[in-house]
Amino acid sequence: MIRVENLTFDYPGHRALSDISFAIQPRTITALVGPNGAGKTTLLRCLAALDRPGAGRVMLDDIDVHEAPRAAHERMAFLPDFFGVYDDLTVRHCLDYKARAHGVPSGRRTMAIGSAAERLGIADRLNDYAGTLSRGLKQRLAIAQAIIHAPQVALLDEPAAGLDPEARYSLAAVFRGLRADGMTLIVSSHILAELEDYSTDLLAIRDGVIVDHHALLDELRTQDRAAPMQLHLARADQRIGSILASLAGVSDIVVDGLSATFAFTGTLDAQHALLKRLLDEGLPVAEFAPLHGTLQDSYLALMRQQGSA
Amino acid sequence: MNPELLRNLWLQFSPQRTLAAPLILGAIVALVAFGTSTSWSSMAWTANGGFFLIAYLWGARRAVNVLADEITAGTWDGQRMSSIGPWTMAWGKLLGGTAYVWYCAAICLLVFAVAQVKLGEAAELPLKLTLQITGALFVQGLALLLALVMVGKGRRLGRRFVAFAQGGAILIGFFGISHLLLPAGGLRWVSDLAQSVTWFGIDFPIDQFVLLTQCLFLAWTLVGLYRLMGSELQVPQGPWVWALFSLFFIAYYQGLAILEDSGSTTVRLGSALLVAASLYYIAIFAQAHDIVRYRWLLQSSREDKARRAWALTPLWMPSLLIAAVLAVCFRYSEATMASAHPELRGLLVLQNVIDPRALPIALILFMLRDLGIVLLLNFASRPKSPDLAAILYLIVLYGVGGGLAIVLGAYQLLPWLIPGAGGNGLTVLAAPLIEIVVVFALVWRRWVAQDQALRPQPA
Repeated sequence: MIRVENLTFDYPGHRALSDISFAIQPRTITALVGPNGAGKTTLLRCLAALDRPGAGRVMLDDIDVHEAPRAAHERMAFLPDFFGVYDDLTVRHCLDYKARAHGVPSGRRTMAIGSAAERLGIADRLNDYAGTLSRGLKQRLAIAQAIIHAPQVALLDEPAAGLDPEARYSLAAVFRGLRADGMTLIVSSHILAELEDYSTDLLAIRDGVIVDHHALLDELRTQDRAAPMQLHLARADQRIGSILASLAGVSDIVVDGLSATFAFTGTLDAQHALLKRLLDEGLPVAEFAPLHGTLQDSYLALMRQQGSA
Repeated sequence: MNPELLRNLWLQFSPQRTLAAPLILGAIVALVAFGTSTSWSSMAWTANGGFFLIAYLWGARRAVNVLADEITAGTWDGQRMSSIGPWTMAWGKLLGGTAYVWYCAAICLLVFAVAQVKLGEAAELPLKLTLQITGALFVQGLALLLALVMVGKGRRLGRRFVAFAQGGAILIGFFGISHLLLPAGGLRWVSDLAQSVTWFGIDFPIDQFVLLTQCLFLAWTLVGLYRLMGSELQVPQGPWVWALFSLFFIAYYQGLAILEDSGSTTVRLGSALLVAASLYYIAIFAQAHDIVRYRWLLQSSREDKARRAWALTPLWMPSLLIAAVLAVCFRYSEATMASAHPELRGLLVLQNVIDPRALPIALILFMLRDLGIVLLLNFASRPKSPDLAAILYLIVLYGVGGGLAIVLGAYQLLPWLIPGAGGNGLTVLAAPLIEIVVVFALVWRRWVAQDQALRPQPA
């Protein structure tokens, strides 16, 4: 869907992005995380063809976004950190303008306005002036404006900044809904707990380089990667440690009574084979599941690791 | 319909505002009518003044604000992300942002037209109306153009810059037409003498020539708006349109040159060189000069990425090239002029201060030195108002330094301060050459320091 190749972006006296490459799969929500000044906003602006990098390219399917920015914008949406809405226009006019600006044909415009307003929960506010909306509703209007042309990709920079917990929760539901409808999202945020609610992938950036990029959801895990697992037995079995140690892909085993935690490297099929093997060995397995740490734990561990490197 | 135009119409034409304009302007007209016993000349004068205030002053401000408001409100990135192309965006903003201004201005024009008919001057009405409309459009277009130039230079278009763009547009667009673009015309208006202008040997009535000039420069303004808007919308741009405009501008001035006999080639080249040098300085100050741009330009050139390099080429390069070609031509035609028109050479030799043979080459060297000063200030690790500082330095060097040297009779210092002045051919060229070496050595130091900061850090 999105392919970034050797992207480099400089500000005077400071390299913001340093020769970075990665790919984003379709129908995913990628959490773009990193400390302040890591290059998140610069990366999003380069992806959106708002800023031109010094070197490298960004491909949206077969479109080089910096060679054909208008064509890319027809398939993209971007919500900047400090977004604005037209306070003196009604919500309907705001959406109508964006639909026209994105070239939505007149026959489909009314439907597009209704659909975007419905999806973002502002259908009952269409005749209100944008300036009278609360911060949360303005945020929804801004997102509705951005996606009115049904883009394939949405880039959102700190979309939950300044929102109350309820508004954040409903925003997460919106993002999950957009993904379910086939959209690919890249969301930058400092609020990691909120990203955890809906992200499928993690893209961590520090000092302008990608330090980690992996799938967060098990069903999306396609490549071998050590993941923490937890095992509970129905009754004690002294063999558990030695059996686990003898299996391929298993490491870092810690046995504690009826429980054992370990790291497992492998796909979902390999995980299935591992469970089958444990059962075949006669272990009384009562629970077998990935051990979920919070996104915040992973992020902090990663940043500590990068900081000490 | 143009979405940007439509959005501006929604914003500006509420029923209340739509009714308010004719009511307020009608009340003013009624006041003038009753106050002057329906004197049509007073009415025409008032309508004309009203049009100037509305279309020129208010219109220029609106044209800047249509962009400044977007940036302040945080909606500009959203517009840049739309599918609207540069031309649609440019004219949508120009006409949309000033739509209400034109609504009010049209009322003034209507009153003016009625007054002119009543005064028996209906025959001149179409020309006068066209002059007013193109003149106001030109000023508004220039205002938006200046706003785009400042946005391109990374300015945030606060109140100070809005006022600067508005004032600059009125100064260039209104007074510039009569005094800068039409130097002879301005004098004629003031002294109320001849009412015609000779351009490339053709006599034009002055009003018609002003209209022609306004239309030509309005057309170039629209081209400029399209190009600058394209830059904002990330459409790669090279400097060829600027080069074409420079050639047009030089040719336009050549048409106004007074001398027509065959011996005036050197004077023509001299005037062309002066125009080219002015355009070079405009080009320098119209663009941002951050080190990143030059770094990538160099890299693209090294990697034979011609298209990318061309898009990164700064405007001053073609301007310098044009000026250099003209300077060389001027230099080699000077000998002919000296023999054919010794009285003209005498004009250039001010108390034996100016060496006309070395002048064109020295001028190019000084232009290079000044570029070095601008780059030096821009390549600082934290540049603070580098343009303003550069202008200040240049004023001090040329104005204060040069003036003091002349007043004090220190002619030996002049080769360092004024192009072609104060010495023999060797000194007037050696002095700016040494200055260039010193300035560019300092530029190089800053380049190396910045370059190291941009190199990837070892893991």
